[in-house]
Amino acid sequence: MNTPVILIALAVFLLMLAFVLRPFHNKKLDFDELIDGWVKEQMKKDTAGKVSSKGLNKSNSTLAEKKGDHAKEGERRK
Amino acid sequence: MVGPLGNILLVMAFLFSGYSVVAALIGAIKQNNKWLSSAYNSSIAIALLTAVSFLILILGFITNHFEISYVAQHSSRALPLYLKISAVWAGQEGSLLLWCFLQALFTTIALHRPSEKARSLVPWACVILSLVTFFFLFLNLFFSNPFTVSAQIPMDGMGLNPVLRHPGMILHPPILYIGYVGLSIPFAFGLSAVINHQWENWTDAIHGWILLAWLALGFGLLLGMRWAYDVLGWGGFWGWDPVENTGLIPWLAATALLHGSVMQNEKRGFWVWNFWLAVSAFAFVLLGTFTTRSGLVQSVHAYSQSNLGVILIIGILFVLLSSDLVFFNHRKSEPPKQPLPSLISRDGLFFLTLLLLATLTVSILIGSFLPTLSMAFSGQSLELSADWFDRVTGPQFVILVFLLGVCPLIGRAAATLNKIRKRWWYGLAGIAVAVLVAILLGLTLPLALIGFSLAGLTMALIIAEIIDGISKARQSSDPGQETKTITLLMNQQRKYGGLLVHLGIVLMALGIIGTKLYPFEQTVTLASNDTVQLKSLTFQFIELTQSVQADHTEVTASVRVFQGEKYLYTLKPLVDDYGSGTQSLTTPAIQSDLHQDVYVIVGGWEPGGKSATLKIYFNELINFLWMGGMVLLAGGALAIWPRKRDTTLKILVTLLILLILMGAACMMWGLPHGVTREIFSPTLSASIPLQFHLPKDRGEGLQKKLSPGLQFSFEEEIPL
Repeated sequence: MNTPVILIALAVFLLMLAFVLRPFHNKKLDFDELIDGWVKEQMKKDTAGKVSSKGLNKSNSTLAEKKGDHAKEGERRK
Repeated sequence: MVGPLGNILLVMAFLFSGYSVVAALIGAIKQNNKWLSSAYNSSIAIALLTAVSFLILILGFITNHFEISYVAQHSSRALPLYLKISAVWAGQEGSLLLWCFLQALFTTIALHRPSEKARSLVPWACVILSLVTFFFLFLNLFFSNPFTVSAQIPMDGMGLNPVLRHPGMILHPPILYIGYVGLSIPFAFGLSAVINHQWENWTDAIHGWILLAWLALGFGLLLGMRWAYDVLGWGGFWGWDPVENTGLIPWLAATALLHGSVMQNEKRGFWVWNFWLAVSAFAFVLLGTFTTRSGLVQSVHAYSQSNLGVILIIGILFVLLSSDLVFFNHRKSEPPKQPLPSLISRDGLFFLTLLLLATLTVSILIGSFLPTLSMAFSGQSLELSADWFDRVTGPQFVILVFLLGVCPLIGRAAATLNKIRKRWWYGLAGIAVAVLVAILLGLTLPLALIGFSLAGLTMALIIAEIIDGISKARQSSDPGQETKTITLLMNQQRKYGGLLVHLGIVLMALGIIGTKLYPFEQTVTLASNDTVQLKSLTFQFIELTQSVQADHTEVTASVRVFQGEKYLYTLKPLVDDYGSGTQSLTTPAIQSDLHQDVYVIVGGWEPGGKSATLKIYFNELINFLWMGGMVLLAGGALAIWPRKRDTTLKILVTLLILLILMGAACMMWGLPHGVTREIFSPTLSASIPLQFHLPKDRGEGLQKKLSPGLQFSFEEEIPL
C-alpha cells in the first residue's frame, strides 16, 4: 500500500473519530442540539409570519413539550 | 490506489459499526444520551464511509481498474457507461456494498429528528439497527469483499452477463434493496417498542417507513416482471422462480403489516400481529438474501458461487430467537386485547385480509423451499411446477380481490347498511360492464367471466368510494373553492392512496386473468416470404440480417404482419451472441395494444438461413398488468406524500415520484421493442430475396449453438 493511501485513510479515520466522540466533549448533546435547532427554525418562521397562528401554537407547544420532557427526564434521574 | 483505498474505508466503516453497537447498547441500558449521541454520530460516519467506498467502486468500474477482481469479473472496456455503472451491483460483492450503504443511510435517517411518539423507542432501535449494519458490513468485508486485488492484471474484463445488459439493471436491484433495507426499520422499532413496553404507538411512528419499504419492493418487483418479459424471451413475466418468490414473500408480509398498522394506528389492537409481521418481513428479507447468495438454489437470479449461506442462516436464527426472547420476556406488559367485534365488520375484514396474506405467504414459502428441503432430507428434489403455484395461490388471490372491493363498504353497522343500500347498483353496473367488455373481447370462458365480474364489482365499489369522498369534500367547502376541496381530500391522502392501490391490483388481476386463461403460443418454421395465419393476423418471414456490434453479434429476423391484405407493421426479434462461453440473448419483438401483445422471438434457423423458426405468442390483456402496476405505484406515492408544510420537501418528493413514474412508464412502453413500420406499405404477394449474411469466424460459432449438426455456408464479407 502506498503512502498517499495511508495518509488519506489516517486523516479520514481521525476526522471520523473526532466526530463520533464529539458528544463526550460537548456540553450540549447532539440530539438536543438537533431538536433545539429545529424548534428555533420553526419559531423564526413563525415570527416572520410564514406560518399561520395555528402553526405558531403548534411550534410553541412543541417547545413546551420539549421543556416538559427535559423536566421529567431531570426528575427521573434524581 | 482505488482498491486499497476502498478497502480501508470499508474496514473503517466496519470498525465504527462495531463501536456503534457497543455505544448504543451502553446508551440504551444506562439511558445515557452521550453514548447514544456518539452511536448516532457513528452511524452517520458509517453512511459517509460506505458512500465514499461505493463511489470508489463505481470509479473503479468507469476507469477500468481490472486489478480489482470484482471489476474484472463484471465489466469490460467495451461496455457502455450506463452498464458499467449498473454492473457495480451485478455481482454479490458490489450489491452487498450497496446494501451496507443503504442500511447505514436509512439508520441515520430513521434515527434523525424522531417524532415525539418515536423518541422513546430510538435507543433500542439504534442498538438493533447498528447490529444489522454491523452484520452486513461483516459479510461484505470478510466474505464478499469487492475490493480484493488480484496479482495478475488482465488486459480486459470478462464483461457483464448478457441477461443483465438491460436498462432494467439500473433501477431494479437498487429499488429492491431500498425495500429490503426499509423493512429493517419496522423490525427495529417493533422490537424496541416491546422492550420499552410501548405496544400501541410504534406503528404510527414509523408508518412512512413501512409504506416506503412496501412501495419500493412493489416497484422493484414490477420492474423485474417487465424486465423478464422483455429479455428472457419466454413470453411470461412471472415464472415462480424461487428467487422471484423470495422478493414477493417480504412484499406480502409488508402488505399485511401495512394493513395491520392501519388498525393499530386507529387503536384497534393488532399489535401482536404487527410485531410478528415486522419480525417475519425482516426474516424473509434475510431468507431471500440467503436464497440468492447461498448457492443452494438454482435460479436466473442467484449468484453461482457463494460462501455466505451459513452466516445468513445464523443471522436468520438470531433474528427469530432474539425476537422470541424479547416477545415472551415482555409479554406481561402487553395491554389487554380488544375482542374482535365480528367477522363482518371493518376489524373482522382486516383480520381476514391479514389471515389471507399470511396463508399466501406460507403457500409461496412452502412451494419455493420444498425442492431444497426435500433434497436436503431425502436426497430427492420435489420440484413444484408453476401450475402448482397457480392452483394454490389463484383462489387465494381471487378472495383477496373480492375483499378489496368489500372492505371500503364495511364500517360501523348502521353506516355499512346505508352504504350497501346506496351502492348496490354501482356494483351491479360494474359487473354488467365488465361482462360486456369480456364478451366483446371474445373472452367467454366461464372462469374468465367470473373473474371479470369480480373485478368489475370491486372496481365499481372502489370508484364509488372515491366519488363519494370527492362529493362529500365538495359539499363541505363553499362553491368555487376547489383548493379547499383538494385540501380536504389530501387530508385523507392515505385512504385515497390505498384505494388507488386497490384499483391497481384489480387492473393487474385482469391482466393475469387474460394471460393465464388465454395462453397462445405457436412455434413455426418459415422460409423466406412464407406466411402463417394465426388468429386474425398473417405473419410473413422476410429475412435474417446480421450486424457486428462492439462486443457481440446481432442476428435480426424481419417479420411482416398483415391483417387480411393490409400491412400493419414489421417485427424484428433479435438474437445477440457474445462469443464462446457465454449464452446467447434472445430479445423479443413486442407489438402492444390494450387488447393484447403480439410477442415474437427467434427460436433458431436452418442452414444458409433459408428458413427461421419463430415462436409467436399472443398475450391477452397483459397491458392491464402494467397499467395496474402504474396505478398501484401512483396510489403508493399519494399515500407516502409528506404531510408536513415543508415546500422544499414536497417539491423534492414530487420530483422523485415523477421520476420514478416516468422511469417505470419508459420501462413499460418507452423502450424500443423491435417494432417498425416500413415507409412503402408492402403487400403479401411481393417477393423479396432472402439476405442472410454472417462472417465466417463468428457465424460458425453461432450456427453451432442454434442449429448444431447442420451444414451451413458463409459469406466472407458482410455487405453493407
